[in-house]
Amino acid sequence: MNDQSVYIYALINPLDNDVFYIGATVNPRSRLSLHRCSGGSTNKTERVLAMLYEIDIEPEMVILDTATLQDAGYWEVFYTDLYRSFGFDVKKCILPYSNFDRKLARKNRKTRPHKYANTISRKIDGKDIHFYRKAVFNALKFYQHT
Amino acid sequence: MIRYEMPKEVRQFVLLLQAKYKVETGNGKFSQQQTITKIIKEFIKIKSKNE
Repeated sequence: MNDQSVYIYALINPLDNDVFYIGATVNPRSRLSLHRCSGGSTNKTERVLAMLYEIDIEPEMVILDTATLQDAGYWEVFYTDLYRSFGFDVKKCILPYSNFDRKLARKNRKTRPHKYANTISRKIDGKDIHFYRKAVFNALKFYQHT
Repeated sequence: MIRYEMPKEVRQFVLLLQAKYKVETGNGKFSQQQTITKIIKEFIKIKSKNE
């Protein structure tokens, strides 16, 4: 099981020869089909993929290196750093649980949806989400009294 | 994130190739990143041929 080799690969946009994703996988073919399923996000990788599949173009998968299962994480980080220093806009890659702050993660998890709801609410009619919260609470109070 | 610097000779080679591709494209648009991907693709082709 541990002798399984992991492929470090890069996804290339064939339209402009831009590397937009670097990842590691055991089975490149099935991983490519998994990429096809992901989409509809603000993430750059998924936006590029959605755009390519919409015009029926398959992204090029180039295998950069092979590694063992234990070292795959390290090499993935190495290649993303390398490509980022070449000037490609690739996602930031951190080794799992290095610099992981549990408190900070929990805080971010709590605040993000609220912030997102606020930005959307502002986009729709320029009003803050608290405006609606207050309106709902007032309505509830009214119904409680009656 | 660790920043990796290209060796001076490699950088010069990339710039030379970029200039060549810029002339080839006609409109003069060819970034350094595109040149690097082309180099990598050709390297992989040669590697697979030798194997």
